[in-house]
Amino acid sequence: MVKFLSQSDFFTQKEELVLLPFRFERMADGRFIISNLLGDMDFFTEDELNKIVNKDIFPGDGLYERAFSLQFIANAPQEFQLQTLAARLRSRLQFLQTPTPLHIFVVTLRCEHSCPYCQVSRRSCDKQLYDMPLEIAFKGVDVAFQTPSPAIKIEFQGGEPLLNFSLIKEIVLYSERKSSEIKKYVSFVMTTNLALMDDNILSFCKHHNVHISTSLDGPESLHNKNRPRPGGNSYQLAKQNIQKIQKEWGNDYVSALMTTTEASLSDVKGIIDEYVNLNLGGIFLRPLSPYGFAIKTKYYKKYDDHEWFDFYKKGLSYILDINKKGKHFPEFYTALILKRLLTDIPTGYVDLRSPSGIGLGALIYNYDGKVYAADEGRMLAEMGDHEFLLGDIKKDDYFDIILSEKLISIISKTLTQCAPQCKDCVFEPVCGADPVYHYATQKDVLGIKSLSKFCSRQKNVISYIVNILQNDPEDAKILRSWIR
Amino acid sequence: MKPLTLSGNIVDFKVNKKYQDNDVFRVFDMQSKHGGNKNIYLITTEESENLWGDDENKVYLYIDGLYINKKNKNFIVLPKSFSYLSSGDAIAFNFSKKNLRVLFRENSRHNYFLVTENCNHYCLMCSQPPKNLDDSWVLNRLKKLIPLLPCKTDFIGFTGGEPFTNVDSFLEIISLCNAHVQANHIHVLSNGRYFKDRLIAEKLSKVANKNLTIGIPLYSSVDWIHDYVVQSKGALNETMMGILHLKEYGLNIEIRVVLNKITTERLEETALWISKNLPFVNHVALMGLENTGFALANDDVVWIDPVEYKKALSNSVNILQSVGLSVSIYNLPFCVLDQSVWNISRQSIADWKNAYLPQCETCQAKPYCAGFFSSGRPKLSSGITPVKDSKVLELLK
Ligand code: SF4
Ligand code: SF4
Repeated sequence: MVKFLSQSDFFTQKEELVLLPFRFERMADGRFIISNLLGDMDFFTEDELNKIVNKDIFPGDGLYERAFSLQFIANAPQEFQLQTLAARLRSRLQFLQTPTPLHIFVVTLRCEHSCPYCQVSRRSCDKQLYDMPLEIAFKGVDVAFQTPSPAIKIEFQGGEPLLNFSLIKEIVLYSERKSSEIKKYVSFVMTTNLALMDDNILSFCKHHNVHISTSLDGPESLHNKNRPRPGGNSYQLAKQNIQKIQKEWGNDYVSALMTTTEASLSDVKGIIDEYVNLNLGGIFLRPLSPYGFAIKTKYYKKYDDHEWFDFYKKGLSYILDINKKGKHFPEFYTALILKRLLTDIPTGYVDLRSPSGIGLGALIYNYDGKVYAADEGRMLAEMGDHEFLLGDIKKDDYFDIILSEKLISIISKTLTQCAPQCKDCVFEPVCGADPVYHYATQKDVLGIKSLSKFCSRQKNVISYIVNILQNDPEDAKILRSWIR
Repeated sequence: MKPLTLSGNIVDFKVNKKYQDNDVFRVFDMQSKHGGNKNIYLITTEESENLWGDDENKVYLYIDGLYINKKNKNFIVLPKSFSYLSSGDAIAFNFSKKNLRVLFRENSRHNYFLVTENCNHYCLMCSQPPKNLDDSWVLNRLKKLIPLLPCKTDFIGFTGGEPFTNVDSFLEIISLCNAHVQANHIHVLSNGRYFKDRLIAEKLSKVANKNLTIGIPLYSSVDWIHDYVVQSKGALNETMMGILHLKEYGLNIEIRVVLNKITTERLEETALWISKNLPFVNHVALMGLENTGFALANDDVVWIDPVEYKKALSNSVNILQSVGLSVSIYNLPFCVLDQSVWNISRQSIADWKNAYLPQCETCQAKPYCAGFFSSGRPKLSSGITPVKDSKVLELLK
């Protein structure tokens, strides 16, 4: 008769038990979130936390198993957990191997809209002054192609880029030539309010695969209130053109972004319905950013972060209902967080990573040839603050820019891995350094996190999502379907 | 379906002395030459078929003994139960014991070769309990077999024991496979522990082609639970190190979770852990328990009615799939599975393993259902209920 050993013959001995690095934070309801080195997290009671910390746990008691599975504890002579964590950390930081995949060209500052919260645009019609000259554009493309990343994306911004579409054409054609010459993949996206879209432009975009990203703030009255233009028909034009692109080209080629203003707060359902009805494939419920005129005109101060968080929660629950009816419709901010919580896929989103994505994730080529580390950096520059100015296309190449003292100093100062508060924060693996935000609000790239609305928003949103994942299986299933 | 007879006794034989015990023969159909008689074959140990001219070398294989021509220099007679043999099959004869074993069947979609019965695990529910003895002759027989296989085949599988017990000999077998057979898939069922030594993973990567997958059982994210199931302390650590090394060398990995009472207790936790720590594996197989071998002896610790883990199983599948993992369920009938996972439920990997119950006759899902093992002593779930609504079959498309 064969003999089998019993469970207890395989139990880890107390002296073999070691703690691996983990972080924790008390929630409002008294429970604790505990997270391992990479952001695998779950809720525990205070008593459970104490037991783990004191290694007062035993195989078979359920707590040992949870803690082992989440890699808060290990069996000291065994190395697999450390090696697994190390391999995963490598994947999470993989974006460092392909620096600067995104290159934003501000082809003109001119715009025919006059949005009250807009950061940079000019109503002026002076082409000479505010359009990007051809040789600057080409030099910018040369710099973009110097990046080590095997694939780059070129984004056209303004002002309203359609006011200088002839330059966009030149840039696209020139980039395509370079792409086939030096075998670096290039893709394009244009951020436009679509008011000036026409058949010729659309046909060019379609032919050269220039994706369209537009603005849509919600239902007609809200959108037009936010985005005044002569004729008061911003919404009409956006909607009409979104549908036209979808019909003639396909749903995947046009996406929209919304800006949450004070007027949006009371109508999250209306806004979401607008996106659903227009088949926009999802929505990004993002708060207003504290830059440029938004600060100057006190627009940014018009609602506080609690109001935004309520707006977000209401929106998310409405979106979950839509998904329950069988429609795949993600909220993109939640999806970004989920991807960081549930996978080690390096995120391309510049604000949710550390080292920060400024410069390393994206470079901005302003119309005048100045190169900025972040889109908001040039908005600050318009107000006379050059903190994020990295160089000038007329004399610098990619390496001058990316290795500039200024960029290195900002990035190294803001690593969440060692920043005060962040380094001890349970959400750190899922969060990111946002030096531009903190500079704009606190005049300090690092920032005091307890005063930071970015930080409080992150804490609110992440713990809210973790709670759904752990406690609401039906909603969790929907959230999981958003990460792919 | 009745399981085929894969081994049995020789009825009568006369062969040249050069043929020895454990020689492997390839079967050739004689239909064209012998007026369509399906009971006469020629067999050979040679790799090439050009040696048929010389009568000395011709070995006739008769099934059922009706047409024997005793004037043949070499002949072997087998009982009727082997009448399923066909061209391309391979057989090993043991003349001194007058018996034989069919090693390869061209008509089977899933030919598995046993490499050794030695193993460094002693799993509570092992269906082929390991033995501690020198069986290197099995490897030697495989070395003779591989060159006789058809030059193209869909699938070749290796099991044990632990196939990598004798690493170098087994790597030689893999190289032989690559030299002689164009197989779409080569599958090796291994516990992966030998790859804790990075060098062995490197060696394997040098002989392996893209078609090779190592299928590795993994039972829990918790050290003692996995170690207990496989009855070996430190096993999870070595298996995980092995998986990381295999990944480092770009080898294809399949994770296999056998669903028993112990592994299903924390199934969702295991799934979540796999989804986070091993999202790079090529396939995750969730497998119903085969009630045979040690599973019978350990019935009280391993058996669980699949309906009890129905919800946990479908949640686990969802968790695994959400990170992009490809997942399959084996050995479980539809009626004990949540409908959301029907589309990834596969019929048994061995075609003789799908058996059904009388009530299955009225079931709409039967043509696609994995049914029950015809081997061992099947224990029945309380959840067996024929599927009446043919609409649900849409889920399978
Ligand atoms: S910003 Fe706030 S939430 Fe994010 S890591 Fe730092 S302290 Fe944590
Ligand atoms: S009743 Fe029989 S055939 Fe039908 S699903 Fe159940 S086991 Fe399969």
